[in-house]
Amino acid sequence: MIEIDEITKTYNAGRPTQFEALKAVDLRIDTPSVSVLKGPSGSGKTTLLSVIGGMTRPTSGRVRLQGKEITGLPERFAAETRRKTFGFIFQNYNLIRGLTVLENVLIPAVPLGGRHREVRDRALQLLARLRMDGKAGQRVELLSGGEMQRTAIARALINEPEVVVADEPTAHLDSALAAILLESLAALTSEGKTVLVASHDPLVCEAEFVHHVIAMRDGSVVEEERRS
Amino acid sequence: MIKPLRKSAVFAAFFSAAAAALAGLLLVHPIYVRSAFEERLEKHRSVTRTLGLTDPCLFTEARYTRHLSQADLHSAFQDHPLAMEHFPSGSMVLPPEHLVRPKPSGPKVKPR
Amino acid sequence: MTSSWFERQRGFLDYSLSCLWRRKGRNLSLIAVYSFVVFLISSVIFFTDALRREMENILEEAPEMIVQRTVGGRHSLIPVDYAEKMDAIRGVRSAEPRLWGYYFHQAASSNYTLMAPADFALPADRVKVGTGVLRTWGTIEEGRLYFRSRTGEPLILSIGEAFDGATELMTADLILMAEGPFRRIAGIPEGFATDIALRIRNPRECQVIAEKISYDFPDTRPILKEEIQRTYTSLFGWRSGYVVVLLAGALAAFLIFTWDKATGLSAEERAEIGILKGVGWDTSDILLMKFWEGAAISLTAFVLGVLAAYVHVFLASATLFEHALKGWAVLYPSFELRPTVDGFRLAVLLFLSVIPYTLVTIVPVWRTAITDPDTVMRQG
Repeated sequence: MIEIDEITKTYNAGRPTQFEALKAVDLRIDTPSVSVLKGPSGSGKTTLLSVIGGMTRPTSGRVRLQGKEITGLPERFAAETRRKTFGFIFQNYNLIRGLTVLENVLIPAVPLGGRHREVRDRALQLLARLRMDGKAGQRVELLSGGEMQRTAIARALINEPEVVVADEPTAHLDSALAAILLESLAALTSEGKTVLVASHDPLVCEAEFVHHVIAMRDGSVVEEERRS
Repeated sequence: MIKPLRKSAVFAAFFSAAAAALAGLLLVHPIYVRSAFEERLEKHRSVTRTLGLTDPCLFTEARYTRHLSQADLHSAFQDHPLAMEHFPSGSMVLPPEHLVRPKPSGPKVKPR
Repeated sequence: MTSSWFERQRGFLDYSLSCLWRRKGRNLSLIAVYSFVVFLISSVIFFTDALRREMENILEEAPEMIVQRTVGGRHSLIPVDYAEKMDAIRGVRSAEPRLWGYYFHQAASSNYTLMAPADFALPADRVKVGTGVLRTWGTIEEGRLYFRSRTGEPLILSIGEAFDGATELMTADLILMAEGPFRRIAGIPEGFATDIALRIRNPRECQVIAEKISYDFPDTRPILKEEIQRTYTSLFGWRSGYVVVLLAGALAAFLIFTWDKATGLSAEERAEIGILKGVGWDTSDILLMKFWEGAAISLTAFVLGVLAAYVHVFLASATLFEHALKGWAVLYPSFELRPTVDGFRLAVLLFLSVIPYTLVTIVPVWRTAITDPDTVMRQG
């Protein structure tokens, strides 16, 4: 269970440009599950994702994962928790150009300092599962869109996270690629992982495997729908 | 699939080879050539002793550069050492110590 | 998952090498230029240190004192009988009039040093020459050298002997001959010599004897061995022109690099740092990765530069400096330098070539790396 208590995030506090991105958000997200944050841009989806993922500190409130508080940790620990607990998939995948698929997949594992052989074998297994095993030595800018996507998924999974966070993952995809991505994400729940997606794409929100849809507007949760 | 070497391994191999070559040159080469140079030094010393030589034959272009230690007392050479006439030897040699040292402040002569 | 300090560092090194390898051309030429700068500076250091030490050792054997006569502030001929009077000064072991001078050989437009040692062992029509003379004199037929005497007549002397090539640093341009032909060529009249070389029993008395000579012979000036040695130990100081030019050039090149680095963090590099933070890297992880990048480049440049400098100075006789030292001169001795490496200077050079560059790699990244990682999610 991810418990989100009274999370508030204010940008530019005390200045004329003060802006409340999140207003006392309260949420309970079951684990494992697939949850979707939906809403128009500016509704606070991305901010909420980055607060949950430990990227942004909330102005007030706290986030607990399986009963353990993960907000308010100093940066070192935040980074440590973040890299062990969360895997991230971004819009455009955000792969590092010029490096190979394998090198990209290994990036989140570097600061953990695991044994290279083990980490590499794990990366190659992940790539094989995503049918990317032949491409490990390929430079990422030479990949097709679908391959880039699978590389990004493998990178998100390399540290065996409990929660995979995806921000608008289908924003730049055609519907065929988007469907493949969603399938791969849905498959993660069977491994006990929780998937959190922020998206305003109806394809995502209406997909059958989604357990929990959270609608947001102006920094607040306006509607929740739990499907069985 | 052939596993590619890690880049750090390639770099470490290259770097340690270069560093070992350098260490070898710095530490071993001088010992290896030592006796030859001892012998050469003794020859130099002996010819210097028997002929009473004062200067090495580094700059032969002019008398005041060929025998730097015998040149004029009152200036570095005949002119300032950075003068272009003596380039490049002039630009490599420092002016005599007594010229670059700040002058001791002696008793000033009062104008009458 | 076992985690170790070593694997962590190695992982960062792997990553930064992969990044560097993406722009091989740029980074390899950077290393090449950087190594060249290190090479120039360390060549100068090796060369001057080795030459200075060699001169210190050799000039220990120079006469304790040379007495010159001056006329109108210029070096002039000294009467030979001064030597007898100086010989009588207490503490002086010997006072020898020295006969030497310069000879400009028109055909080779080259200067040579003529000397007539008192105990010259060859017959009067023979000379003993330095190997530099053999190299530069021009056409030497049947071992004969043509001189032009002071009165304009030709004087033919044949080469009886040559100096050992190993002593070229001191003897390259020397032509030794008997007193008779020397006086005819140089035009030094009987009863006069170029200067007087004094050998003194106790080196500590040199100063006293020099003062006495200045007092007894007011038209002379003594030059102490100490001064001779000092001339060569202060030779090639770091302030001397050529070295300053080299250092200034190197420094300017380095500053351009620095400027480029410090200001030129491209949008792409910034975006990459954002991605790294996004996937879980800490600010300190990014700085550590950049540290390895700077260290890899600067250590490589240092090792390659010093290696090349050692080979250049001690195995290739400092060929690049020959032109600089030679200047206008036709004759330049060929000599090998005894390898002398000052560990302290090398350590200073290591420090100066590695630390600033590494810092310059890290600092601009610092500013980007401390920004909140959620910006990467917004950049999209």
